[in-house]
Amino acid sequence: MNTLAAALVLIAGTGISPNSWFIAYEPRIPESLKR
Amino acid sequence: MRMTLSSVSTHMASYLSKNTVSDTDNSEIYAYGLEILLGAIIKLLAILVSAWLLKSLSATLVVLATYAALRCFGGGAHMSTYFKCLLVGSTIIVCLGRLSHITLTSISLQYLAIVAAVSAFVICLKWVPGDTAIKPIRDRSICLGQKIKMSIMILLWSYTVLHLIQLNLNTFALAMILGCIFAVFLITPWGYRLFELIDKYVLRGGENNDNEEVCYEHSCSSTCINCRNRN
Repeated sequence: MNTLAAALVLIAGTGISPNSWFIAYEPRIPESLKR
Repeated sequence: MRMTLSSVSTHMASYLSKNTVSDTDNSEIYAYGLEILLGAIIKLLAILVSAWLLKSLSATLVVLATYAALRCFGGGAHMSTYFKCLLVGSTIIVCLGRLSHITLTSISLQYLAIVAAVSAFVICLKWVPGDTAIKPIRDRSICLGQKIKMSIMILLWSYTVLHLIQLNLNTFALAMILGCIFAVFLITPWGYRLFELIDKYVLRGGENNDNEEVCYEHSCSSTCINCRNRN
């Protein structure tokens, strides 16, 4: 569970980078991840 | 209750949050990560199954890889909900994969590749990165960095396409050209406009945020790079 959680935090980190890998839709960025 | 990718992710994230050791509540971040991961898996499966049924799996994979690689650095228009994204994105990519089986001569493909490469460079200079209201890119150095990365990708793409034509792998070369055309088109204002039209008039419903300030030029936030470049 902890490994999965760490992987999800990593994926969430890629979601906020400018090199986004969303193809045509992007979810709302959570407040805690906004800089 | 309506079951959306977001609600499923939130439920899974709260379960995960209760069963992990952490000082802070990261359920919001888990939900976001899960939404990205599940969304990508579902979309990939939808594309693979549709392409396999249409007997154009390999060409569709080439279209998808090209599109994703250019999209990653170039950005572009987005649909407002996941369902719309799944439907429109998968349909277009599978159709382009199928379209790649059209027989074209090597010379025609070379001309098409050159036109696509020149257009891609012009679009890269003018409109990359194509940002969105959710994630506006305002930093000048980030914009420049994205332009450089996108230019390198276009150079790599051009080399690969010409090499494929030399090897007489015309189907894959056409698949790469179509993937590139689709990716760079969505960075232009016309791409944003097309997605906006599909979003608003063809596929109604969803979770649009009507309070958001929208740029009429390309349905993104009024502070987007395209608007700033014009001002």
